[in-house]
Amino acid sequence: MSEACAVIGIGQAKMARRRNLSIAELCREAALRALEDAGLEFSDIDAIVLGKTPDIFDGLMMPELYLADALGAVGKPVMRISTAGSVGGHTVIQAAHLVQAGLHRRVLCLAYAKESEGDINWAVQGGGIPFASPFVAGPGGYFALHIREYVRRAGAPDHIGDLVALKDKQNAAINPYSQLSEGDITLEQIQQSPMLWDPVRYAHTCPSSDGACAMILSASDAVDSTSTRPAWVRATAVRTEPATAPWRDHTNPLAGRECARVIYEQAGIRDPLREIDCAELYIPFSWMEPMWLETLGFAAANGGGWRMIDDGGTRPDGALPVNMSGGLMAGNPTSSTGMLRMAEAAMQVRGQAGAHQVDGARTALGHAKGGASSYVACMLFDATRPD
Amino acid sequence: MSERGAIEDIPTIDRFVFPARAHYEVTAGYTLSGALRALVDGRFVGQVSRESGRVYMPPLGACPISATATTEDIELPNTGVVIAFCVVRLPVHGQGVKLPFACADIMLDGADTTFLGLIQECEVEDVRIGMRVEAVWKEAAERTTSLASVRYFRPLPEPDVDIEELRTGRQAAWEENRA
Repeated sequence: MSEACAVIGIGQAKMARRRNLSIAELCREAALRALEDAGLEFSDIDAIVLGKTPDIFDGLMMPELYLADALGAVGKPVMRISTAGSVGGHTVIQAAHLVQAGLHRRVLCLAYAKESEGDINWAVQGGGIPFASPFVAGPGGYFALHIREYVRRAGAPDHIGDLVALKDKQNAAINPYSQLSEGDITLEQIQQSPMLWDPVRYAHTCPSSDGACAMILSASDAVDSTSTRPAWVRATAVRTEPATAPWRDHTNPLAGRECARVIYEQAGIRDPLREIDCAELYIPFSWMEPMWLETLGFAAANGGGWRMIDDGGTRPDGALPVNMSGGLMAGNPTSSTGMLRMAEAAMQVRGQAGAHQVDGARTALGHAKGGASSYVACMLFDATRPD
Repeated sequence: MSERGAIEDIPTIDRFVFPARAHYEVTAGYTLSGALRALVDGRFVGQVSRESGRVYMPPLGACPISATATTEDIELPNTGVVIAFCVVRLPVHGQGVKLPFACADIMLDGADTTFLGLIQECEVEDVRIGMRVEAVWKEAAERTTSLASVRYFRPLPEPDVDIEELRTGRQAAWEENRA
């Protein structure tokens, strides 16, 4: 590590079915807001990093070429990052590394999805591959297995998934970029929503969205602290494990545990629950919150996660507010989903999160995961410049 | 003249069907070819890593534990254990199975990896983690180089297995499998 690096601009597009916008217009909406936030123009940007899930998700090949004009990228270095759902997280980390390595002073990174133009439920099936499952279970039919294993191992009661869904839907209702606005939903309504993949109910699942997120990362000598409150990048980590590794622990993935270990080591954090003020985690199914609390070291393995939730520990007034933006319950534009987690963490330490601001947040964790929870990216942001 | 973006005198098209077809051929490769041909014969064939001792079903051609290639086939039985499962109640296009059905991670006896299998011949409420199951194959004429050659898995009248004990018990096999 080398150059200090900070987030100085964040822009989001409203999550919804954006049928009135092209992909380029959707991306530009987020990019222009990030530039406005940073007080910059496209001409101030040295390089662009675009994050996108596999092209099959919305059917546009090599979007980094098509989007060059919309993102002011003509004549500049452009890099495309592609993993799975985690890609937005990896994209911000790549942008940070370009700055930290001293290659560029200001990097714009952006991730988008326009799922209304594709069929993501079909795309994620991955059918027709040798040894693929001969039947179709649907997108939750894979993760529900791991959730049930968590429930068995941790002895989690049925209502934990309901409590997380309720909290995230209430948080999403005060996020102006949210696709869903279900702040009035009751615990009973969540518990009565249809069972899709036992133990995952309809109200435990995230929507499919169009959306975009852009962030501008800057070297310290290009940060004007008088006009922009920076979110300093304190630690970054990326880890990947084979989804098919023998006896892989799906409920507490090694890639996630390793990311947490590296992040805390880099930042010198010994007690994450006390030293981190809030966390924005990648939770497409509410039941994953207790799992990731344990994976990321906020709670003891095999049950600490659900007990923390049961005690209200992850609510906005809890010991560790989790998913202040509503998380994926606010929307899941797959590529941007990972970046939105990082953006929300950075917004918190910048004091920029509006109605969902955690009072006095100075250190925040962003987490993105993808594939079979086998790709993981984590970032720690701080209001104070690291030494 | 109306505002830009507000052209209203054209018909609204919400959806159209474009009959595109992508024809492609898959080369399964050395490792998977053996396993897929075995399915035609109604047999499970995985691979064993002589470096780590782990047994792969389906075989991947590589062992992520030892980071070496696997080249040695190993015949596996028709029986295994439910490692995890869920009950699917959501209709999805192309499903082809009556709802609700149980979908399970199945680890064949002697293997260290799982694959997704359908559980039938029991109520979905009776499926358990640790349940012993066996494969029910299609008739020989119906079998292909696909996992669809297995009609489904059904429960065996045997006591459940403790997953943690099963995992611990595999360590002796890994030692034995090392060349």
